[in-house]
Amino acid sequence: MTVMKRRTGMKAAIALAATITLALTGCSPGSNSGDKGPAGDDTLTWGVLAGPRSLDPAHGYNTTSAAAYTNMLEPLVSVDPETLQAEPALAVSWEQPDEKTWVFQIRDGVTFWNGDPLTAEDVAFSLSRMFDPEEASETASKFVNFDSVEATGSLEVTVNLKNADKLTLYNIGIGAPIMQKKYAEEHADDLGGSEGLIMGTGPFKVVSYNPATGVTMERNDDYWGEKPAIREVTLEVINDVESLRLALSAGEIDGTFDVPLMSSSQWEKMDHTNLTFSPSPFLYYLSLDTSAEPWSDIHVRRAVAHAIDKDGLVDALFGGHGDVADSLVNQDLLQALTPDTDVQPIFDDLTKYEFDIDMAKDELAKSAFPNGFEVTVPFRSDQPEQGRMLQVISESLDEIGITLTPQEQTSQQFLAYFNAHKDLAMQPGRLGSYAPEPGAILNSMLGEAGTKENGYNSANYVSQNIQGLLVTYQQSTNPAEQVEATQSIMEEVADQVPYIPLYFSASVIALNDGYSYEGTYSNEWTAFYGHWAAHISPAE
Amino acid sequence: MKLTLYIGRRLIVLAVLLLLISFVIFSMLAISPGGPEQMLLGTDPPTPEAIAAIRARYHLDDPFLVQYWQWLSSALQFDLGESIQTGEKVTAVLGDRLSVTAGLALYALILSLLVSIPAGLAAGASNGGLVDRAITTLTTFAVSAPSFTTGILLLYLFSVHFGWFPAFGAGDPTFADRIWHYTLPAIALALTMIALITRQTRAAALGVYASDATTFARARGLPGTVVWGRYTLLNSSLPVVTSTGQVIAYFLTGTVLVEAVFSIPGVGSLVVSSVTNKDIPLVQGVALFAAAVVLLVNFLADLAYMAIDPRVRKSILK
Repeated sequence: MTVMKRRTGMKAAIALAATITLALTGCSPGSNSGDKGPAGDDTLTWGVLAGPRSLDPAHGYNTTSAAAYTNMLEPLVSVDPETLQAEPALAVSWEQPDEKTWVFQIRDGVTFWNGDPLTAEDVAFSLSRMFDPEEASETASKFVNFDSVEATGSLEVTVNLKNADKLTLYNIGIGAPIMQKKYAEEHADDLGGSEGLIMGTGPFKVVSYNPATGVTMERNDDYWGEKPAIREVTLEVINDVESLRLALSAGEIDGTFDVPLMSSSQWEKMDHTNLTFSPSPFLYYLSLDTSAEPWSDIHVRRAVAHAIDKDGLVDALFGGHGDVADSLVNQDLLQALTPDTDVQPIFDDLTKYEFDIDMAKDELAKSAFPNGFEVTVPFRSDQPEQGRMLQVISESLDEIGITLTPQEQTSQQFLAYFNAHKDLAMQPGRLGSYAPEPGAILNSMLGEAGTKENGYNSANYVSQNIQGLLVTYQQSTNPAEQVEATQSIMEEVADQVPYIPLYFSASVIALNDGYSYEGTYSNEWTAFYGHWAAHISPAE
Repeated sequence: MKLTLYIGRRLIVLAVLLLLISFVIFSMLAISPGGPEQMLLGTDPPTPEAIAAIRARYHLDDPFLVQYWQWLSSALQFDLGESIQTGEKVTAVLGDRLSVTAGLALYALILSLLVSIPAGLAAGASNGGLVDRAITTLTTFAVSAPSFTTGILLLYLFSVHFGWFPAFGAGDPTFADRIWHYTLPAIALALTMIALITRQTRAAALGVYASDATTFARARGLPGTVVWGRYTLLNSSLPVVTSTGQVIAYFLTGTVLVEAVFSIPGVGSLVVSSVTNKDIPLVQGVALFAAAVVLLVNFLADLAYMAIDPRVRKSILK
């Protein structure tokens, strides 16, 4: 090849130079100027940092895949991002004849994109496959209490549980969006892939899909609900966050969710772009392994709690877009349990550890390690905000004699180490809630089952009191009782400090001012239970 | 006949090397901590049953040699398995990514050669003069700037500010759209390699331009194109062929930074993402591909030597 090029070098060179010049001058598309004014029309181009792994939630359970499939597949039950209450979606009503049985009435008159009607068989199929070991669904953990799901009427489905589970509605909502049984069986070998695609009832239907480059969807004109204003939505993959910002600035994409909170101020300065933030129950925390020294010493834990400036961290790490957490429990989630009784007093009365180096020194002096110690704390390279947090707190900890060395690890390394559940010492953690209630996260972080491999009780904190309270919470059907149990758990955690809750982050949506978003966007409720693309319309 | 034997021998060695490499990569994947199921279930606390089901689906609990044999026996039938992350066939993924990267690599190579060969020849001819010093300085700048930075700069200037080029992606699979999308990343890539090829060409040209044969040709009054084209270029091309081979191998496998900046779904980003996610079938496929590219390109470079230089041809095929 190289020899040939030499012989015809001159001519080829001239030809290519001509082509390149033509490309440079001839192909300047009108819509690509750097000074982008409002350009809302009925198409929407959305930037995403990674492509959906699959359009089938069983094999693509993550935010990037959900951004695509939640517009195409609908759940039986969704969550209203403002009231945090369960709402009918494809199920119009449900009841519990006994605590292990749920009966759902399916909405009538709903059709799949191919015109076939939605039946109870489709619903039973969509749910059952999620706990079929052959399917090996990534959402299987949500169905651990499910025994069977049957179509008990043309528009009625009955769920039989092995154990009562108050999260059943949310497990079904997030874990089993509804797809057509016939289509899934016909396309079994590539369901959710670029050839097999998917068949749903949602406001948008898939036109084309490639995991590396993105998805194109178009409006379902036969949708049973309110039709979206946008006719065509394209999710474009832009792998780098800075390139994402430049693409938005150039008007090549109309919006994105993937704004890094740390540098959100840079995004806010862009012309023709609006950023909207909303509170999120996504918790950041530090976990201290209470089963080993020095963290088994409560004075050490309290000393570290006094050495952390949470307000300062929220400003530095999230540009102020975050809320300081005084408890593992998020106030909005607790409030959702009991909409009529204010839960603010519970949070006001909690033990808090104010940022005070002298108090930190006093606490450490009472411990078995008054002269301090050294600790190496790992963090994931794809979570740089955790690394920053560790750097900031290591400065304060230095003042009281504790030398903290942050250690960056690849996500694979970190997960392998974390899941082995040995020598955890201090860990930076982040955990979201998939249901609008506080119990699931407390169960993961304080339950005894979490002290084993792959468990999330990285503090290895198991107290009889809390185990009892967790059972009470799980078995109770009385919201006041649940709130009381939660309060007692919160008080013990605040007192014993197995975890230092840091802050809750925020959901953010960046939109070109040619478009507007109706309602509140939430990384938890909209992203997994709703259809975000149907909330967007061209601005007037 | 001798040529056929030579080629046959080289190809057999290539196959054995690929086998060895695939085994070494597989072993390294097995030794490194963590499993692909952890990368699949990262978001919510998983139950032991969910983990077990996924591990069973991908045969992750089978003994090491059994897993390797399962992979090898399919690979020999050109079935490299399916990606754990997306379920796509590895051969399809490689095919898609390769067609993108190959187009970009070719474009970048042409740009590099177009700039570096004349620059190198001119620098060689000037030897210590103003032209030589200017070219050396410029190419040093080009190689010192990290491709990531030049990429962002090009993106900001020509895409956002002037709006001449798109900001991301490989575009539609038409020739014109691809060229339009590839221009900025090709420039970013080419800049990194221009210094290398220019220096090689310059060094080779220095020797040849000062040689008796070239001096005599100039003295006889042969036109510039003949002196350059037939004498200087061909005789100084051996080192350039070596470096071009290296450049091709680099462009085809090591372009992850430029791909990240311009969101080009190429082989470079595939290497990084497959390893990060411990997507075993994909890592094996990509490693095999990368090894094959490097080995093949070296082989083709050797063949090119033999074609260019009769002395090399004689000694190898004696």
